[in-house]
Amino acid sequence: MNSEQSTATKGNILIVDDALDSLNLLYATLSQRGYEVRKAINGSMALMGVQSAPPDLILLDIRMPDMDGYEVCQLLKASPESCNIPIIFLSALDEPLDKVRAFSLGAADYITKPFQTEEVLARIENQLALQAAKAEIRRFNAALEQRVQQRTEELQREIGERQRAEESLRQQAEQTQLVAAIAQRIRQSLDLDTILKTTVTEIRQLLQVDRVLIYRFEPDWSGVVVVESVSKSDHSIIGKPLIDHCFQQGFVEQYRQGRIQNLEDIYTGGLTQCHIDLLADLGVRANLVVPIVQEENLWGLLLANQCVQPRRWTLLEVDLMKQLSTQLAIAIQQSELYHQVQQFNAKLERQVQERTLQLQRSLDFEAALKRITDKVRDSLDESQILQAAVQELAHVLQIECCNAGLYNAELTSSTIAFEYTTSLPSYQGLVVQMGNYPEIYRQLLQHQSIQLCGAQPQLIGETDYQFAMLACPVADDQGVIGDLWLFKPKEAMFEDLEVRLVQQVANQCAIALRQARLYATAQTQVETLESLHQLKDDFLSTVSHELRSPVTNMKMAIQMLEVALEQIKAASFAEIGADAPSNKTVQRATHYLQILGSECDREISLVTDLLDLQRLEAGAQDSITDWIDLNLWLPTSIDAFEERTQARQQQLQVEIPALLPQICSDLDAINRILTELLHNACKYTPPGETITVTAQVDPSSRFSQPSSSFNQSKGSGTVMRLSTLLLSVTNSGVEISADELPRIFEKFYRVATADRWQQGGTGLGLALVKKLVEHLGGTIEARSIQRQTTFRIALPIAC
Amino acid sequence: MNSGKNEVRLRPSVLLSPASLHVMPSSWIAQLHQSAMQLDDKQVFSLIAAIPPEHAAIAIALTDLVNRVRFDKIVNLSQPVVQT
Repeated sequence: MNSEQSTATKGNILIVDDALDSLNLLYATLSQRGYEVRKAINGSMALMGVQSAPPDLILLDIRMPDMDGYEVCQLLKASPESCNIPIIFLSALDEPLDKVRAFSLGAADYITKPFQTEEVLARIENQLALQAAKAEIRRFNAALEQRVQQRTEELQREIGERQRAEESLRQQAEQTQLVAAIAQRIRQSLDLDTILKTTVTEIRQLLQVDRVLIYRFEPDWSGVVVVESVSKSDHSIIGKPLIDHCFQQGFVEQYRQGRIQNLEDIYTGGLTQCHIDLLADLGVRANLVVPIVQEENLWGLLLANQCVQPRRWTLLEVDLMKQLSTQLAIAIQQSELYHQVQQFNAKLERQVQERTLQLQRSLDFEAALKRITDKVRDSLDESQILQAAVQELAHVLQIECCNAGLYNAELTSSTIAFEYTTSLPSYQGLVVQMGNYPEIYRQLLQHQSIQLCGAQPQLIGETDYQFAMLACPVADDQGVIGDLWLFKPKEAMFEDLEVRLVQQVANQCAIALRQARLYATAQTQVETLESLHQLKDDFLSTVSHELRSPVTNMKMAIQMLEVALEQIKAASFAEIGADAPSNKTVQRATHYLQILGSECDREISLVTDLLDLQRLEAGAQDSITDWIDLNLWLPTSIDAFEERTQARQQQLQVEIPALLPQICSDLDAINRILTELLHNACKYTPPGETITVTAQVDPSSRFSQPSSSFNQSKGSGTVMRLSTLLLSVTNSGVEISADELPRIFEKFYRVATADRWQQGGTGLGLALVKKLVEHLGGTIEARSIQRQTTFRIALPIAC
Repeated sequence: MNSGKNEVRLRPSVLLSPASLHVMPSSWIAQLHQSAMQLDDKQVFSLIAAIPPEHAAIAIALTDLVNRVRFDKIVNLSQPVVQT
């Protein structure tokens, strides 16, 4: 724009008019006033001038040949370069001026010719001022526009910066995430090897390098590549010896303090030739080394290598390596701690196991002791006791040999009586003279056990082997009976626990042996007694038999005498009367004969009872079972005593159910039992007192085994049911003391104060009853309380 | 300005052809063309003043054209030179 030029003058004005005079006049006038003025005489020239150098204002004549003012105005307004130039139309007064058209075409003003100079100037100035104001506004707008533009640019720059910042933040976040992810994978394991392998693999994939290594320092600062990850197997250097002549000690300290070697290219890194050679030999071109530092200790190095190409390590990569080495250091430490904990655990576990084993052993020993004790106590056989003991001991202690010696009564020699051996030859039966080994036996005889380590078992004459031996006396308070010897391989020892076990077993053996010996003695005595008893029984049996024959003969003679005497009495009484002296003699003789007869009967029943009892005791009595109608049999049996009790003013009561079943049993035996009990009751019941008999059948069987006597009746076709017959005989007025009660079933036992009727009896009645009841498989009990004595009998029967 | 007295005497502008201007350097011709296009009479006069005296006829002819405000003719005269 040439607006600046125009301000140097008052303004650049183009006058377009085909009338040259008018044109020159205006030109002169305006030039005088300081305007830069140009002239054009037709429309096309005006357009050319405007196009070449736009004016600030155009004074345009309307009426022109070829192209009139309106047309020029139209064209000017149509072009963007010229549309803002104010146009003032010039028109002659006589010409019709179409003002509406002029303004509608964009005219700024109009001047009528001929014109007043002042008016023209005023209008021009006015237009120029307007134009200047417009220009000012435009400039202002432009300035504003520019400022807006600037601000926009600034904002865009700022946005760009922000975006860059965001980008870098995002990268950082990504990196953090990456590190976290890798760190997590690294820490997933507590196994050091896995940790290291994961690390190198992850880092190599992340950085896309040829090789990643972990190098571990030894205490002497030599080191070894512990793990690597390579893109090609050619790059592998694991296991390659690393002889580093030029890696100075100083580096260690630097790395400890966090030194990082960031080498883009070994050939341009300013390294010593020695160092370059070393790295080149290992196939390193670009090298990134970060230390792995654990609490001030340099554990090792983490290395990333580019093998063929140089490589510029970005800050991000270096940072990643640093962070990962930190994570790695933590993971390594955790792993090492974990290993320590595991070792500790394993140690604890071992201790627990040892303790458990000890406890188990102790429990085993206790169980073994219990077993051995049970075994040796169960037996009263001396040989079984010791055999069991040596066998169990050898078994429990897992020893080579165990034997038991028995001492002679004089305690001068020991005989190896029992033995259990797996490896040693047998020495059973060997007799050891104690005098040959005084130290050992002195101690054993003092009830002390001895342990001999690595001694030669000369005791048993064996010199080829050496053993650890344990000798333990088998002793009780009455003295030493023998000893137990145990043998282990010589390098072994008998532990306290084992010694205690052996001592306890020895004690148990001593007790058992003592019992066995006592039992043996008692047994001998019992056998002697039994044979004596047998002799007595045999004697009695024989004597009874021998006694019976003469008594039977005597009885017969007495009966004969009675008959004879009756005949004498009948003859002489009729002849001389009863009061004749001779007849009185006869009467006395009759009385004597009666005494003789009854005593003879007693003798016979005594002998019979004795014989019966003898038969029962010898088990020679057969039982014959038969059907018995209790409703018939019981009253009949009891009635036999009616007369006798009446004579003695005793009450005889019978309490039996109205109807008793038929039973199957041994009639003779049952009859004898009841008779004997009633007999006994009659004998001891004072006058005025009562004898009560009860009987009933209990349909349940109280006996586990049916009496064998029922087998005979089985085939009869009747269904037999096992039941129990309950009988009792009670008499009042008499009480047997508690001391005597258990003895009343003994043979010939008599209650001291009893037998008020001086009936004598055989003294075998109750013994016989008991034997008979037992013979039938039943039970009898006697009770005596409150002046009442009751015998209760329960017999197995079938009905 | 000095219109009246030369008008009769000088009508030789018809004689002017684009070739007539070749006596002047092409840069001058270009400047003339430019100035004419801009209807800049002062500039055109100063360019005319640079015409040597031997070619006064050309100067007179051009001055006449300016005085008659015939910049269109000057443009046409100088144009072919510019084009070649």
